[in-house]
Amino acid sequence: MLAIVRSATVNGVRGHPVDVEVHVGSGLPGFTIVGLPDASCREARDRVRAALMSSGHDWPQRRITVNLAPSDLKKTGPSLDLAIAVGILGAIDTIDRSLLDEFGFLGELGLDGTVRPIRGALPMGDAIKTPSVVAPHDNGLEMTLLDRSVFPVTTLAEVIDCLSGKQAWPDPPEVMPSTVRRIRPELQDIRGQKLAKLALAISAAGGHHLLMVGPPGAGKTMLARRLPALLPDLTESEALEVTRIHSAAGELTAAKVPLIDPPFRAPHHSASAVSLIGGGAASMRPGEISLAHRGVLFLDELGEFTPSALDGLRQPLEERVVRVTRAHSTAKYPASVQLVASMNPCPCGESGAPGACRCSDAARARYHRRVSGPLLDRFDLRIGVQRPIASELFAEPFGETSAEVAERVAEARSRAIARSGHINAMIKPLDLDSIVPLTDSARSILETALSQGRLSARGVGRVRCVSRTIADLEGGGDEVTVEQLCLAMSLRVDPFGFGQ
Amino acid sequence: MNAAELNSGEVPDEAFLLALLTLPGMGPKRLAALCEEGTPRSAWTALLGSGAVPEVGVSSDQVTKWRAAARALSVEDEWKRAQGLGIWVSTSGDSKFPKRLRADIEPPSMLFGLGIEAGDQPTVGIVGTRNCTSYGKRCAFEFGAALAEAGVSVVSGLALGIDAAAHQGALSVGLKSSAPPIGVVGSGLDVIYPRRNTKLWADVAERGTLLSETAPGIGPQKWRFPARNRIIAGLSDAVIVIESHGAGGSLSTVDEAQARDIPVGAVPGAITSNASVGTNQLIADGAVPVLSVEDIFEMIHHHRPKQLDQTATPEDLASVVLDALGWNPQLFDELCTRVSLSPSQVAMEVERLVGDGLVGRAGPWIERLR
Repeated sequence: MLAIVRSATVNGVRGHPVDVEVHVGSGLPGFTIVGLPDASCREARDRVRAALMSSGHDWPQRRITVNLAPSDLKKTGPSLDLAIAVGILGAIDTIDRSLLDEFGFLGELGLDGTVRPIRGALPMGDAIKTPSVVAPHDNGLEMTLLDRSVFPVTTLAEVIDCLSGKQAWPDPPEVMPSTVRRIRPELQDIRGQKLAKLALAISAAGGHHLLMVGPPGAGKTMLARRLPALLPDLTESEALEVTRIHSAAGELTAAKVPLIDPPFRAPHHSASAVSLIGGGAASMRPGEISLAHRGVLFLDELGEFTPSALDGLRQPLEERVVRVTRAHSTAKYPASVQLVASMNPCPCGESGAPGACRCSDAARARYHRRVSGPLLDRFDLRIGVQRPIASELFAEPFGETSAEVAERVAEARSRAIARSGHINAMIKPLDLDSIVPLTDSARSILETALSQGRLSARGVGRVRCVSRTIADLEGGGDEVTVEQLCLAMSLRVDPFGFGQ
Repeated sequence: MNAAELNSGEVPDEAFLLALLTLPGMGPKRLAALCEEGTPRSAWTALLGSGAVPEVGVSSDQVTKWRAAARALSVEDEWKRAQGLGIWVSTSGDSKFPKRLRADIEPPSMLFGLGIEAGDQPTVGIVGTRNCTSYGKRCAFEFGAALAEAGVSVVSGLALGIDAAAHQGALSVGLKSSAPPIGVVGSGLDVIYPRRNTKLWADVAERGTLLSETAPGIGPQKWRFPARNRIIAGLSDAVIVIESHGAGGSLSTVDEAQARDIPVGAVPGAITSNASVGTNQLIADGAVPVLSVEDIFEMIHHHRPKQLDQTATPEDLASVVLDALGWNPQLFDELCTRVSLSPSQVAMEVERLVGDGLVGRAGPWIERLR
């Protein structure tokens, strides 16, 4: 006798539907699973048997074959446990097989019959096309984002009782739509650093990547952590997108749902290329750059990351999407991030002021070589940050609050989007002349800088994009003034230009 | 090679001197001691044989190392190889040997050279830190140019920073009337160090003289640089320190100059600048303060007609920014707090000043250049 149960598996950030076909027939008693299960998936055999018996059912002493269709798709993880258990019960007529077409089943089973939460519940739920989905209770919050009825369950016995009509399906958890940020670090916490705060606002308003170079203790990390606070709330569709990615990576906690805070990810500098970009041998987990999608990726101590990890970021930063290809599958992850990085000016880190650094010339050159020119070129904003002086440190809080700046940023963003349909960091070179027209004096300043080798051709384009953002932030009209252009140039310095 | 072959007489005495110089850890003092009693040839023979070696004051381990290295080396091949490199060799006896060094208190036994011979024209040594400010670089460049133009050869060590800037200045003036630059390096002449100065190295060899007392094929070794400094001092009529940290290597050149009664000048710098700690101290200790190139000419009693170019003066807002900037490097942030202008206005003035060459950018730092 054959039962077919709908379930799903996850690859990258996408769910794929899986039909669990269970055949129970005559022959030597045994239990095999076919259809490319990985180790954790094949171990379902033992979990399912124990869970069924713990729930008060006899294990059929017959030949049980489970096929996971489509058979050429690799299935990873324990998320098919519940579907296999339900399939066996259907095949031996303990539950009514005709009911099974109505539901999809997701969940890992414990030996005592509990249904445990799984990684990637939301994208898997997307992939199942049945009218209702039975999912682990602990995944209930994220599953409310699904456009179908969801039944959160805690034990296998509960599932069997509900299917046989002995009790009603439990209600999904109720979610209050959140309108308040959970975390909004305060910009006023930082004393001094006027220029850096200005750069943060510009970065948030235009989506420009930001590099801060300065000695330890200058407040680079504090500044970076405040960037998400300046970004607008996630829209509903953005939140759904981000939740899916975090669910697929198993990074979603109940406290995060529903998401409106832009994500902030700060991987340690020992991170491998795969952990930043995504991939891995079997599960194709999304990397840090995708977990920071629609938010901020902060790379502290940029120079300490391995060059291969950093250079892997170049293409995703440009295309805002990551494509990872392995022999067995391909995955595509969204990766639209705002990159913020910090580093010391030199190994001694102390001052970096011309003539004051105590590093040997070779040591400094070696340090600077660690960040490749092309990656450096991706930073539209590069500023030097110094330690605040005592009088600034003990001064009263001053300047704008995070909320005030966020408001200006939101206005600037809506100006940019009304004009060109996207944020200013994404202005295409062809559109520059119509979006950022140059006055004669602005042109002559750019020409001087070009001829003195202080700006590259690419740099000129990027400086113009940034000047557009500055104008949008200052509320000006269509014109970008020379002053705004010069400010953009002052915010894009060669961070290692001192010495010879 | 055995002793019989050595005595064949085919190989000149210089070849043995060269062979001795290629031995590990062989500096000028040890070499002089080794050859004090006899000739380079006899010292070499002693090393090859099993008998006693002249007393040099080194450990027996070192002598064992020398013996091993000497046995592995063919004097004749080494000599031929050196000649194949296009490097000329000079010992204190011959005409190519710089006159100033003949009377030196510690002359090199042998000099290797590229380019022309060092002539009798007046010379000034310009030395300073590798890790300099743009102020130091600018002084070195301008002094280098002014000296070369007036017929004074610039002697320097071809290191990064001040050394390189001084020679770049000397090479920047027209070919005909200018004095040829003299570079004294610490490594073998076929081992360019630092690599970043490859072009400068070639330019100095082409238009002037490149000297080294280190045998070809030997790379940079820390202890060779102070020894090199004594040759810079010995070749100069005066030594000028442009910028030096508190315990900089250029101060060893100053010591060598003082040991030879050669006048020492130093360029004053801001007391807040680490790169000027050494030079300001020199002035406090009695070195001649060098406020312009005229002071250098006075030190070597050289007369020269030409005046330095006067720089254009900026105006209006730009001068407000320039005044606020002062002569110490500042970050944009600091500059903005010193003037009552908006960041974008300051940015524009700075950009214009940079365009006019009055202000320079060093990484995030903004520096006044003149």
